[in-house]
Amino acid sequence: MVFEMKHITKTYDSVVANDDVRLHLNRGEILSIVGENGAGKSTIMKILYGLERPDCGEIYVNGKLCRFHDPSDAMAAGIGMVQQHFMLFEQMTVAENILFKNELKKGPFMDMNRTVDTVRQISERYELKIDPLARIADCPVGLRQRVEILKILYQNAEIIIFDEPSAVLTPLEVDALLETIRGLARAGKSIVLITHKLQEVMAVSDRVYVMRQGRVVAERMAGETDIAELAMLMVGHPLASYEIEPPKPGATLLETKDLRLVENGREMLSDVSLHVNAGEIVGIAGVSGNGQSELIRCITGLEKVTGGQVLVGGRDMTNRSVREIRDAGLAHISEDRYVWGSAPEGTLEENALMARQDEMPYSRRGIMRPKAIREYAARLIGDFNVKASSPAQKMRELSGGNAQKLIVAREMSLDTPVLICCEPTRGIDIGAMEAIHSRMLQRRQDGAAILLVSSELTEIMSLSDRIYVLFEGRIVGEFKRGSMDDKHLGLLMVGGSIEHGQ
Amino acid sequence: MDNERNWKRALLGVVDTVTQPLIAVLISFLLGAVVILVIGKNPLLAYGEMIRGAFGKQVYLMNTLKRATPIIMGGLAVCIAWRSGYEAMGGEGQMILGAVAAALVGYYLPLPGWLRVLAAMLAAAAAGAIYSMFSGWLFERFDVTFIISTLMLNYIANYFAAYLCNYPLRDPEANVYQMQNAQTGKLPESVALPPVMKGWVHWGFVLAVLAVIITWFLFRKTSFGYKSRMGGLNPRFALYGGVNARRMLYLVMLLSGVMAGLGGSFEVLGSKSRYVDQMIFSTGYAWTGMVAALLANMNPIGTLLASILLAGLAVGGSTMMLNMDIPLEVCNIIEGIITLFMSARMIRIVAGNLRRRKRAKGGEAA
Repeated sequence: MVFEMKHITKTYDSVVANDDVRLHLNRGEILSIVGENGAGKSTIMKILYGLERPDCGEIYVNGKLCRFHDPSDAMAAGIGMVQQHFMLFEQMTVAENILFKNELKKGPFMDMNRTVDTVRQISERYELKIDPLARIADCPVGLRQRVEILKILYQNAEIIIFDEPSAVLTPLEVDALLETIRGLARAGKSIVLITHKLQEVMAVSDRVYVMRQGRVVAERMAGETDIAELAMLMVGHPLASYEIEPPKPGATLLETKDLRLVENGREMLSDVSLHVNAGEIVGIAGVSGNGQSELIRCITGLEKVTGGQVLVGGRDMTNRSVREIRDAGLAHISEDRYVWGSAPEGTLEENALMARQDEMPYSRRGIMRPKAIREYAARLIGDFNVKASSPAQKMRELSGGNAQKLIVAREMSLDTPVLICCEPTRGIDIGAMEAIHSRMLQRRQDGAAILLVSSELTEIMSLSDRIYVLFEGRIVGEFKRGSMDDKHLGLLMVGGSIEHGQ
Repeated sequence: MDNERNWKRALLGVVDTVTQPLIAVLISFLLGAVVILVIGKNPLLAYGEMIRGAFGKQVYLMNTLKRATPIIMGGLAVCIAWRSGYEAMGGEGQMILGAVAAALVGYYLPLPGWLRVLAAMLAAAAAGAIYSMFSGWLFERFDVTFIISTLMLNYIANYFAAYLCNYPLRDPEANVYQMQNAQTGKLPESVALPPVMKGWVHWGFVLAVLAVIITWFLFRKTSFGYKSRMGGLNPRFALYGGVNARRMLYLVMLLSGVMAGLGGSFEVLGSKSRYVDQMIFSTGYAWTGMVAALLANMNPIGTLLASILLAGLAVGGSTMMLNMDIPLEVCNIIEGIITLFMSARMIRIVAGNLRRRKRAKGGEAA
């Protein structure tokens, strides 16, 4: 056992991030910690890495009780962490970054030859190919991550923590990363992998902990479980638990025909044709960055398309303004709640009003009616159970889940025939997630056409009546509910094909 | 009960926004006091003299309000543009063109008195608006930052006005040998914004107060104010909510330019009766207006009060200089320190806007 954590509890204000967590890691083992956003998996690793201090509990490294005050303590005990956001100097070389703070010197100067040699040596020892003299700015993301790993290896880490390492990588880079992780374990390093991508977990781990709401709810050997069981444990109930009535699709309310988008000479969308009928939830599955954001921006009028058509309610709305498209009967829960979906510095009232600012009874001939606006905001807050102290509160004072609920409330209350939901539950707690999902299903029963974009495959699979798979800006597959399992979907999402893939 | 909480929240908000500028003003006066002490005078007496000179008698007070008039208008121009996220600093150029336009129309347009005044003000508003919208166009079309375009356009306006009043529009009756700035012809007595009453400030001040109220109303009560505020807080959010960003840009720049242009006309019609070369440039009305707006955190009513304070500083300062033999520079130091404090705030606003705008553009392009 290289480390063991016992009875770790950590609270932020009134939120319990970790509740009596205990876990351990064996030498040469690849351990995965899975859980949804906010399940407490990052917190527990931050505690192990010395970034956070637990309220109570003990950490043993190689059998010795340790107290870490900051990451350098953890590093000294042989624990290294590959952060989700890399900390590298863009303008310096790979070698300089790897030996940062541990420079090899010749007199007052840095000994460049020895530095480069050292980096070559560790790079060869762990079979992590890299050019020591390349500038970070010229390295793709996958290589930058490799630099981070080498940096930790140079500091003699025995335990390496990866925090959502695949979030920023392309599918090919993910494969390389998984191979790297296996190689490190073979070389005797002990690995902790924090992720919510179950395919990767199954591909590399020996053992898995599942966390939910701050607790470890299950421990499994990878060979004895499968994605479905892990997903169920993560969410806390079987995925098919939604009472989903068979769809009663009506007229086509949203349609794109051969949509193309070229940006800076790059083809971001190619011939995307899809349709969403009334009473139907249609999911777009895909690895982030394969054209989902562009597609939604084209449909909602935030981006001018290069070619093709967008039809809302049967009317051609190609390249119309956001206002016109919204007026044609479309509402849009945006992918990022603070970038697009709200003004964090604005009040809840102001955020609730958006898109209705020119509507009776909230304004009349350009004059606003504060009473009606306040009542409306209060109604949204009440209906969707947003935890807020007052409609005059600032948006940024709300927790992520509550902010998201307000945005969902705003867009759903527009009661439009077409509803676009982009990452409607990203980074929010399970309660809020279920509330939002059941609202979406309710709207589907009421005959709305819903287009759902999500990077959570489980979300797509459990809600959608039909699924399109988007890969590099193209639709590479279309499936009805139940006609496809997540393994094949996952394969299509990374550009594989069903015939050849296994 | 809920109402009471909202009240408390509002009150706290006010205290919050007022504290910082108040401290800035206080520190500035304290440092000014140190300077006065170093000169060997009594700062309390000096400040007493200053306050008396600014507000002590009706004449003085009216003088202060007269000086405050263009400052208020310049401040409103800043409030309108900055609150919407456009850090335009073109108030000076717009005010100069407004003043020239008013002097020109007032001098040449053959209309009866009050109609000519109206026409002069309209011309000033139009001149300011067009100039301001031009920098908006540069921004929209060529991505020229407002800071650069407006600052450069200020110089162009000033030199263009200097050319006009030195050559084509030069006052024919001016004494060529007299050492004075070039100027346009004097407006007839009937073409003016007269004093409200005998011994009072001219109507321009009243109109400026009216403009403050209108701006406040626009901000607080209209959907235009809502949209511009949302655009200022998060341009992407406004786009997403269906606000027409292009229309808002031009509307905001138009209004902002109208305010600055009118400010120039008030100075011509209410005070100087002509355009005198450098009259806006050397007095720094537009810049003082910007300091006032920053002091007030872009609140129009606060801008009114801050403008009067800053005008009082200049007017009272001259009294202090005459009666106590303290150099006028002391006032400049005080205003300078206030400006310094406020530019800290300005840099924060501008940096924030640039960051938000960059993200918004990135989002469209990425």
